Amino acid sequence: MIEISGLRHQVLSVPSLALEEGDTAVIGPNGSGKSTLLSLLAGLSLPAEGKIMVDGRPPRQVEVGWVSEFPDQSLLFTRVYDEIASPSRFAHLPCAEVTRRVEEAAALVGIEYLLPRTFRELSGGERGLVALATALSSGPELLVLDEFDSHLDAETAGTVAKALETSPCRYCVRCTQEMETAAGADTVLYLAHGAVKHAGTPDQIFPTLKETCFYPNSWRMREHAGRL
Amino acid sequence: MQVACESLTFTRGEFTLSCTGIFGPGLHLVTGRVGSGKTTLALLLADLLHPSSGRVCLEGVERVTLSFQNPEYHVTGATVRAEAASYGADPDAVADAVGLSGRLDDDPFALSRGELKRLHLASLLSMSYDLLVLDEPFSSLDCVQKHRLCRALEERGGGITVIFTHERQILPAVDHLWEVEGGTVRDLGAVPGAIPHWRHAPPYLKQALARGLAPHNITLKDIIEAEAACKTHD
Amino acid sequence: MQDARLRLICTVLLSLAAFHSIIGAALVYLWWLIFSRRRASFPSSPWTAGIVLLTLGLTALLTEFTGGDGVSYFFRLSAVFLIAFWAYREREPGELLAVGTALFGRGLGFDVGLAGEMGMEALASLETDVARTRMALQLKGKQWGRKALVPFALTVLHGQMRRSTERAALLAIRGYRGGGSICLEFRPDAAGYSATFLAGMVFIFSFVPLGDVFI
Repeated sequence: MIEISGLRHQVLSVPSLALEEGDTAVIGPNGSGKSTLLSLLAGLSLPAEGKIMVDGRPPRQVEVGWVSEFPDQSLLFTRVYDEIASPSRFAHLPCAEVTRRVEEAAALVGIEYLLPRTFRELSGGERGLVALATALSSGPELLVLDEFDSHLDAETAGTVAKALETSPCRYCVRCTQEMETAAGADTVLYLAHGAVKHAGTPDQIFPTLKETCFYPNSWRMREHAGRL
Repeated sequence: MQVACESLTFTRGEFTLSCTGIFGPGLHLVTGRVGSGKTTLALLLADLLHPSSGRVCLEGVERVTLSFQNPEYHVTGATVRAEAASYGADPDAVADAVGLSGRLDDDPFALSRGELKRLHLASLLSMSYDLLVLDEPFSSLDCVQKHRLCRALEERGGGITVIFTHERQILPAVDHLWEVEGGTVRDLGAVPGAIPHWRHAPPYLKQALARGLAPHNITLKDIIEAEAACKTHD
Repeated sequence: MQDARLRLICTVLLSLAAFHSIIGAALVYLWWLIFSRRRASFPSSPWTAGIVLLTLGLTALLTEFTGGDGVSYFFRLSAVFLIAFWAYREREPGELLAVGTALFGRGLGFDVGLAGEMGMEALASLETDVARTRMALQLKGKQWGRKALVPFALTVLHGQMRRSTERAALLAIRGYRGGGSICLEFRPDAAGYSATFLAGMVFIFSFVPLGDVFI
């Protein structure tokens, strides 16, 4: 379980929150503190006040995978293989293990064919997939995705959804502007003005957002069809 | 007034983009996978790239501009006020419209990406252009801002507006559809005739088409209206 | 030449030889004729080569007129740049990490290689940033000149700072704490060995008068 208590950091204020294992979607308007919450969960920044515990440990002691909003613009290497291998190499793993992990992660995301290539030859969507494979290569317990789907096309987003389903990750927290994606999560957090306004299952959360544009299109259509 | 692509091709490495077609006055929507060449076509239309062969012929088009996906590239002013003014826009009116009235003297780079994108789009849309090319204008915006942008685009009087996007939830009502696939730009034609041929149609629209509905345009509202019309017909 | 280690050795030996003496520079030109890809070993942009030649030429002229040996300077430095261009065009993505680790080990060597690799990636992203920012200036009807330089530089700088923040975050999240493991895969070939052997000869002849070697 991910437990947050007495958290205060920049615009964000979360007195108490518990997240069960599974997929959590974080939604809300621009500037509501979604990215701040995600960077704290990933251990990229330390909370000014309060604490975050993942199964009883602070995020920096947990194996975390992270993909940023612009995965195609934040790469460290020029070759796909080097990028996916980097977490394993940084961990000083033996050669055979590095190779095994790279191949396993690439297979999980379905990009084995990209391994020998350089980033210059890749499309934006493919770069996003490489970033995801890199994050998954270390077998993270917690995967944090910061609006990473906002630059993926429908086809690539489908590939990502499949990869995430099969990944053995215990926790996946992602913020998204795609409400259809959020509707498929186990837990939804709705943030506004730095506070968690609603937390619960999609069936609990979305009805409270019916009057807003955060209500999924497919739900609106379904209800409309039902009403007529 | 029109922008005509005459046997236009652009080659870089192994990638070649080709386009033949005419962009007339109104709202054009160009869709395609990420990396299919949408940005390249946008740059070609705005005369920021030189074609490898063929040409882009502008007729009756004088004022041309383009909006990049990353609003940071456009920043030239040291303050929000100077930044809005650099487009020729009225800073107070623009700041008011995007809720940044209290931050007129702030550094544009101190704004969040969403705020900067709003400032950039509002400044751009407050001016009149014969050709307005928008590359991923919806990225970094939440759904409230996306709806606002759609209204602003629909209300833009005259001129040619070309939107390049892979947005699949909130779209404006448009006049013409295009698709980029495998390096080829395909003219799907005018809306609503083009809608059934649109392979990159958003999921809600695909579902509606599968149910046999014939919406007048591509927004969710059009589909709900089509559904209502269909039921009353029954 | 496919083996990056041999290429590095050649580059160092030949640059020193060319810089040290006229004989060395002359032999470097010969070496270049045998082992380079000729035109494909020049920078892809004619501007780069032009600017380097112009700078060299002007400095040489200045040296000549102020009593120095400008002609010799021009001859030697041109050879140094010829080798630099060759090494740059021969490089393969990802090899810096391997070369760094091969030369200086999994600690310092890996870090040096990593810095090099990240630098190459940063250069590529800088290229995009510069091109896009210039286009944006053009769109606002601003002339490309002295007045536009400050906002232009600020925008590019800001973009690079954002990227470096993101790179730092990536390094942290991927567990980078210094050093790393890498499986070295070099593909030395006969051509590489003979080029390196001859580069070694060029180096020796540049420092030792020919007569001394053969007598």
